[in-house]
Amino acid sequence: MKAVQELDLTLSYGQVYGILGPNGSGKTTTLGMILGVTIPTRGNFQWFTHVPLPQALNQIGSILETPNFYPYLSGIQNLKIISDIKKKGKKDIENVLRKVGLYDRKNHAYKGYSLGMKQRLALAATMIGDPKVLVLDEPTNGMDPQGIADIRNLILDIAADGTTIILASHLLDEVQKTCSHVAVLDKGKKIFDGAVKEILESEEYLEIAGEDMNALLELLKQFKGISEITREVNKFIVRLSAGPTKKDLQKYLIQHGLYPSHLATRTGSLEKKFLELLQTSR
Amino acid sequence: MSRLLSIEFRKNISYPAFWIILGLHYFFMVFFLMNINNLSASFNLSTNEFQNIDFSLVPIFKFPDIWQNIAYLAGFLKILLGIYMVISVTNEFQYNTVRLNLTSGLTRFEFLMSKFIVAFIISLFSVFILFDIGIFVGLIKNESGISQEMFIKLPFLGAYFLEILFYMTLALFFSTWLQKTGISIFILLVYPLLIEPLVRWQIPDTIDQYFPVKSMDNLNVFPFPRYFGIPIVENVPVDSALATIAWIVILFYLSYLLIRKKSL
Repeated sequence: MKAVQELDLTLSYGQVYGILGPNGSGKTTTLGMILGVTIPTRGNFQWFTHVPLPQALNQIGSILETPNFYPYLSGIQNLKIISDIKKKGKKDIENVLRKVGLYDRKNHAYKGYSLGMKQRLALAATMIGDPKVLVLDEPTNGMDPQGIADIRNLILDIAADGTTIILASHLLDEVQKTCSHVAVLDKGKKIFDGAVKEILESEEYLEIAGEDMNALLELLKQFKGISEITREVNKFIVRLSAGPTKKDLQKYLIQHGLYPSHLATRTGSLEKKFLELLQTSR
Repeated sequence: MSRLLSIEFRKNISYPAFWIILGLHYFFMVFFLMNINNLSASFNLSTNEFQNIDFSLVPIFKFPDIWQNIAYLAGFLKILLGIYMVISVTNEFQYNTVRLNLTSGLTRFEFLMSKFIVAFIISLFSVFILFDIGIFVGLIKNESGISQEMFIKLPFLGAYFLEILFYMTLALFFSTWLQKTGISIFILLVYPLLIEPLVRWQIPDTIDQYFPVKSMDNLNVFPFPRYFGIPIVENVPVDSALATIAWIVILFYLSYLLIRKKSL
């Protein structure tokens, strides 16, 4: 059984790179391999062009799956262990605890933390020593909506400072809101990669309605450059293929004597694209 | 090295089990060795075999034999140190903190080495405590007075050091292999008493003396027949000491091989 195969990804500095895939698609396995805990049977990877793994990890902050800390130690004691391993000073620690909003509970034992607090501590741990890269595997797992919003804002702040972020998630919304690039995995294989913006923009969907829906449908069918027409209540959803724009369609309808009562662009969602990708790959 | 020690120190400093196990170990050491004469006196009452001998009069605290005797007796208490080692390693697997260590940049070798360094320091500290007990009890009983000869059996403290360092390395090996606390402690207890003796059963003495637990046992063989006029080994056997050192290195390296290529 291979959890991941023929996966080929390249990241550049400063990207916020999403790895998207359903549960069990190989996200954690992939991240485990580049972090040195999972041993690949074949293949290789490189950090920062030619820095070997244990040294490279000094410049990488990571969360792999669920937060794992020493339950009987306090938040601050756990972070001190990490700064020792990374050979970094202790002066960052209070700072990162403040950033994630855990400063007040820093001296409490980890085992008493809620799941959200555990995730916050894990995120604090990734920031120790001002790393160049953050690897975040489901960083908002199990958090309440406020916590999720906080963490996403924090991730965006960190990314704004030029830190490269690799974010694995099965939450499309999360990837759409935080990532600039995305790779989609399914059953251990990459089925797509590219800029998030591109995916969303390549999907030009229009909502269109007119008084005479049957006449409208006939006209739409004759218009060259529509690849898909679906009917919803009182309107059609039309997918434009590359070439004609909304304006062209509008002109065409008016020329044929039909004035649409409703014509609007519907922004594509990653979810739709994602489901499509999954369907075509299976 | 100081980095690895600091990491282990931070892991243990607020861990109650660490202090309880080590505290118990040193308490038993002091209590057991200081009261061994009383204990052997009560042993005297319960058996009929040696009715003519008063055990409380056996001069086990006489210099220089005291070093061999207390090193032998203290060896029985090493089980607690082995259990500490098992807990220290298996916790890392059960809480998955070994991942935290590795993803933060510790190598698999450094991870094991940090455990070994602590075992080394605990062994040194135990020798220090044993030396203090020896000096204290030896002088209080003053069965021999101060002489140049009183330290000639001090190498048995070295044997004691090797014995507990070996035992903790054995615990490190079992817990790295099995990764579960209960089964690791069980095997650690059963291996020296049952498994290895069964394996050695049909093997000739010339070979079986180099088995791991046998090498450790031979460092300091039951010394008390001396008091019944039976000759015993009076020095730490060099080949047993070398064999024990070799096993410590081998067990550590085997532990490393177990996780070197393993996904954790």
